[in-house]
Amino acid sequence: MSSNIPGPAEIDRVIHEPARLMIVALLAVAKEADFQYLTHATELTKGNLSVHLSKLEKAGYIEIEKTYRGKYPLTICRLTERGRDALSVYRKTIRRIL
Amino acid sequence: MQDIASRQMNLDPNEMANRLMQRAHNRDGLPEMAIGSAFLIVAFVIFLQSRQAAGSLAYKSLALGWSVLVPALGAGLPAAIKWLRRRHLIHRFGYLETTAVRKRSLLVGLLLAAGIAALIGVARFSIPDQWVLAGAGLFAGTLCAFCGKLIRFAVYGVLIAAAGLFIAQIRLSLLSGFPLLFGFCGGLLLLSGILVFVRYMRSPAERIQ
Repeated sequence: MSSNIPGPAEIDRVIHEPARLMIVALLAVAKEADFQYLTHATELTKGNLSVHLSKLEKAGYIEIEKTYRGKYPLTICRLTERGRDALSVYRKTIRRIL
Repeated sequence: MQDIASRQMNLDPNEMANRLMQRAHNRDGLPEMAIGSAFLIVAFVIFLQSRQAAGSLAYKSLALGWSVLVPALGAGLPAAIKWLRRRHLIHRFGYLETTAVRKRSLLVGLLLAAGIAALIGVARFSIPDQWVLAGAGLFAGTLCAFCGKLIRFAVYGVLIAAAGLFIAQIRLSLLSGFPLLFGFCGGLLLLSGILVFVRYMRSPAERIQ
């Protein structure tokens, strides 16, 4: 393996998983989105999405806020600065590999 | 569902996100209904204009009317859709707040469309009417096919392009051809939007595919 090509350890495993990449990519172009919207946009099941959101939150890439809009409960997700930077680094790493 | 994720993996994350957002945007049929209605309104105004004597006050007023109506509808309809979704469909559609960059790109798209419309207006004096009609049909069809990000829009794109070519073939004037073309686009999109919306509303709110 050439020294210019990043090794597997350099790839951010949290973002590299396809479902999480979709979530992070969506939140990178949206200011904020709620759980319901993300379920539709990613076509993940609620349980699956919930697990991935927890992992992203644990890594500090997203922040989750539980709020209400009228009587309707909203679970709003936002990408943090750390998440934005991680996506940017991930994109550069993958470009170097491809 | 991992299939969709795997299909998106060979894309740039930005491109992937835009595709996913566009698919989600078209899921409930509201944008189709709105665009279809806008096409029908504009077609009707142009039709009314074609019934007036060229150069008359009514003719000029209607020409001015639809040239004002198009950007007004373009700017107002996305806001109306957003309001409707937040007010009445939030439990189904969910909540999304887009970034200023996305809003800016929508504005750029509107300005581009206005520029192309102006170009067609100028071109009509040097290009035969049937070429303008065929070009408008092909342009609208291509736009529909590429912007929809769903298979049904590709089918509509082909139908709209074919309608444009057919209308050009029967050698109508612009004022007769455009209402026909826009009426066809509007009717197709409105009907499709209504069907998609009814299907969307009848699906269980928990898991809408």
